[in-house]
Amino acid sequence: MSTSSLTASELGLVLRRRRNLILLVVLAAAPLIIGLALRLSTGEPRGPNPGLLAEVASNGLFLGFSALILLTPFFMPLTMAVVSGDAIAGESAGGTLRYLLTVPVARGRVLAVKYTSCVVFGLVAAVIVVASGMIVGALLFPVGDVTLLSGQTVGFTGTVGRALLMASYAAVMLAGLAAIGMFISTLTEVPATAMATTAAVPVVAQILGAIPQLSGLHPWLLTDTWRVYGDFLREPMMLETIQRGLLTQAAYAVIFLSLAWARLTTRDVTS
Amino acid sequence: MSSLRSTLFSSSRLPWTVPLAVTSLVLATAVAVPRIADADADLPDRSAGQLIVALAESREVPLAGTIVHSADVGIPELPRFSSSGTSPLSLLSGATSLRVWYADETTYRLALYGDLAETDLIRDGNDVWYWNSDQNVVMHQRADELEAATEHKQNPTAGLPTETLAELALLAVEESTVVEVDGTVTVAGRAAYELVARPRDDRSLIGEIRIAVDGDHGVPLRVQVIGTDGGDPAVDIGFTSVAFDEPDRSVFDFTPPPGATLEEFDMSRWFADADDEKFPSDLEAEVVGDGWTSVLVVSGFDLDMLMDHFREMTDGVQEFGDLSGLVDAFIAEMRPTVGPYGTGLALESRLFSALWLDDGRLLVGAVDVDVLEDAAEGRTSTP
Repeated sequence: MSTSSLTASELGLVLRRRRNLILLVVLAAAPLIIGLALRLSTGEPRGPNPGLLAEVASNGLFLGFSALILLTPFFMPLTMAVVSGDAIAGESAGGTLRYLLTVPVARGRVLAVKYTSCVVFGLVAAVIVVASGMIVGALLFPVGDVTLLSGQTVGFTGTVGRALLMASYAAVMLAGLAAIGMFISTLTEVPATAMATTAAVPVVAQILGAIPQLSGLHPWLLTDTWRVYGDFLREPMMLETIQRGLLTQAAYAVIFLSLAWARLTTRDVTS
Repeated sequence: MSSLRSTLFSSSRLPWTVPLAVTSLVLATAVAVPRIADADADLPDRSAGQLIVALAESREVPLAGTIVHSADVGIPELPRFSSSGTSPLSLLSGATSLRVWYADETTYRLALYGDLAETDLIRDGNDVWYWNSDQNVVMHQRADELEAATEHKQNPTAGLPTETLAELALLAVEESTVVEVDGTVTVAGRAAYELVARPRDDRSLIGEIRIAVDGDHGVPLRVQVIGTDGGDPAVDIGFTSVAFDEPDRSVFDFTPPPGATLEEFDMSRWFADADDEKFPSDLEAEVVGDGWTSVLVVSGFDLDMLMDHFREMTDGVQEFGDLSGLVDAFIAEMRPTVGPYGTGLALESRLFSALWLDDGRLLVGAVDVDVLEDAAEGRTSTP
């Protein structure tokens, strides 16, 4: 089988698995909950970013951005932890890994196929969050031109364009985590362990990122560039931080994929 | 082939060298690339006077770049002034990033970036705009009105050639300050001269001020204020990237977004207020000492009254954040002192000290508290 048809069938498996579907439904529902809460609440929104939520009330499309920003710290990485943690450990637990590893398919290809479907799943998840946010926002609130952080306004096409860019960025951030999840997944035969460990990674990174005394460490953290969505909402966009985010995730991805490959290659098939 | 590979690999630890190599390569790249960009620059020698001329003439140079500002003045972490820290007051502590576009003296834009917020100052010809995304407020000011209001503060030396002015400036500070060129540095990937000003009086808390001047364009690329305590600069503001091309005109376009509060802002009112009787009349300020160790002595200092005046002057404009939070943070950090001058509160930071006495006098200077205490006793100390 060619790598692309393998990837397509693996992706089909990932997307059809009931647990993963439920995760996507939860992600799609989250903007609805946020939107309803905003619609029903009276008075000025409070919290760390009142401006972000206040903007939704005047323009529903903004909910797409807000949902992505609010779900990035925990819910989206949790979803990716489940999918990537399951990737190899799930096959081990099901007893199917030995077949995968003994068929004349290079183990690197098994890894590539699994990783690719994780990355695509992440992109699907991010697009669902943004799309759901924009649709819910359009239903619950008035819709119009979106005012960017810099004070300029963009029309519908510009808004959707920026939303897609932000979703792609979110998918790349999740791809960095997916590589870590793949590696952890090769270390254990218990999928739940791999998922929980992977889910803990961004949590720990964000806690470290919140401690000012560790500022020297911050630029190296996986999650340091996870929240720079605001830089997509400026005119002109702040490409420097976006580029740094992409490079950081690429660095994490190559390191952990190479670790996962080494682990899978040296792994005793009969175990 | 495949079975050969698996027997070769699975029985050895050889595959683990791949992640080892990959990790080393990634880390080496991440560490080395900024270092290579910071390698020492090679520029012909220039005198301090030539650099000051270059600095003065650099306002002709169009540019666009990102500036990172960090301050560690040694005062406590200030409370967040606005929810996401893009109030201009956020520049006092922590790190902030700004972006600047400069076409000419009447066309520029400065954007202060917060997490999910932005404050912009845009001048495009005769329009000056202030935009704060947090407050959703636009302030507009006509540039000609602003200039009319500040005209009487015109510099009388404006007609002199830049070279003469540079010489005059150097002469004027010579007695108190060493000004010299301290080699070259690389800032934002550009070769720059480092101009250093160092106080001759060692009681000053300021060790030196270093200004990196771009080798080709004379634009200041970085300013560092270094305390006498050594360590990291107390204030460090510099470009992290810069390009000397004419910025695209579209970055200066600004139309108030629908739904924003638009205020016609009259800056001239502020200048008028300052000369006006609106200030408390029993508030008197004088400067004791000279040069780097001068101490500002304000008498009749009544905090509550001043806060009231500030509120009145700004008409409750909230864009600048809540000033009382700032004041409280300072007061919390002050320690009680007793001396021949009476009792009061003292604040020491890396760059300046303040002494607030119960008799209503406030002394501030870039010196140790001892120097302030001497000044409070009326002793004009000499080095």
